[in-house]
Amino acid sequence: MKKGIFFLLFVFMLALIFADIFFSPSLASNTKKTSIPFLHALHGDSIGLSCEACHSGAYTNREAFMPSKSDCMDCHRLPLTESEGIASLDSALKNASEHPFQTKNRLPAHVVFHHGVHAKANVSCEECHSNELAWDRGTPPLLLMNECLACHQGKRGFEASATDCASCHR
Amino acid sequence: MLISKRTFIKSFGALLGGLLLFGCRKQGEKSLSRVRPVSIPDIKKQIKEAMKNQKPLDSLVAIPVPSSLKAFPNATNRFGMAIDLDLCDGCGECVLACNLENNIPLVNEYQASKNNYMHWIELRDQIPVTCFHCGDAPCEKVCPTGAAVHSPDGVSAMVYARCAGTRFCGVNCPIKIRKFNYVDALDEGLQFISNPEVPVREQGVIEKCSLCLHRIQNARLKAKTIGKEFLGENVTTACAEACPKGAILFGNWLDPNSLLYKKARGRGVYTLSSIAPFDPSVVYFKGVR
Repeated sequence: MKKGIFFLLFVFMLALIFADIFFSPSLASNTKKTSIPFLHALHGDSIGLSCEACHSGAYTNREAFMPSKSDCMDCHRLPLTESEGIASLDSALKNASEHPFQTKNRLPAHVVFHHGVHAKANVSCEECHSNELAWDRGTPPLLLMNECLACHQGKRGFEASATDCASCHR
Repeated sequence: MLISKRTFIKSFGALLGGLLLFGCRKQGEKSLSRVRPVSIPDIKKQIKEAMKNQKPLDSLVAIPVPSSLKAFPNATNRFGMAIDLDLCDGCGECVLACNLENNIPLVNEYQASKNNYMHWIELRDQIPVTCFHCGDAPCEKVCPTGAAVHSPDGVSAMVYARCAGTRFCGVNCPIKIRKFNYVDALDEGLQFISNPEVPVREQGVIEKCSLCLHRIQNARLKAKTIGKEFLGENVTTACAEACPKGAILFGNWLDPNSLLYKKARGRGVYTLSSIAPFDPSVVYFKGVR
């Protein structure tokens, strides 16, 4: 009897926790899963496209921007290799919406981050976006302020940069 | 007896503990769907009320033209403003522009009855008074969390995420221009969001004039991306932009090409007597020197 009550309570608490995990709005990722299977490695490392080819703002703008379907089709309407097209990819591209890749900016409203300024200072994209597989999966890792500060204080081989609060916070 | 006292207390404690943990979990972002729409006439109404019961103003005293900050002697920028009292007629357009630019919430009836409005610019005896961005700011010295800090650009900035709401800064400000968010303006339907560039301040946070810091930041980022040195060109504050008389000037006190620097030549530079010892960046122009 006693054990039964304990067990019931335990199950109740577990239920609460699981309910929270499954039914609350997720915090970790606001990136929508796309219907197009995409691998950064296939586009960047293997054929040497620059990040700016798809993320048009990456070197000049505050936001890097996500490509639209027409950006994909600029290349993919042509047979890209001597081998035949991949049927599953062709159909995925065909059925995709006009903006298949959608992300919500996860930067808090009181932080300003400008991609262009960092590119200008010769910081490569991989310096922050190293885990490209995580991005392909739609679960991009969170960046924390400590990682910003490490560079800005000159601890990672870059010239020390602004560390006063009002440079990045508003 | 179905269960013993011991079992009851144990299980009750476990339940309480579990519920407590559940209550402490991180919740999703606040949805804006609950917000009752605040209209611009609502904002204008509160500005009119505030202008009807204006607070008294300290006497004006002459000061030298602002120069380099003591804390940052090598900085190339010191942003500031000048309000030309010969042109200003106290119309209050700057207050409205500031409200819309910085998403300043309305206050509830209780605060309004105490004449506590959130306006970052106040008219006192028909003269616009805002944060003077003192170079030697008394508010920054008493902040226990480091939320009130001075930027090398001369802006007395607020890091809202750090503010714990002790209100020490508000008390130490000689002109009491720092405003405290007593209520959650989003929940109370008092928030008007017109500018996505400026974050909405939470309940329990002090806010004040930021010298349109977001505009300065955006312009600086743009200039640095092109590879130019940023001296405050092409930036102006919302109030300066809105003033129908052109009485408010924004500029860089350390840049001889800045309009503010040029216009200060030959003009009488004044500030409030209570602010004079703290090296303000925002000053009044009046008459000739």
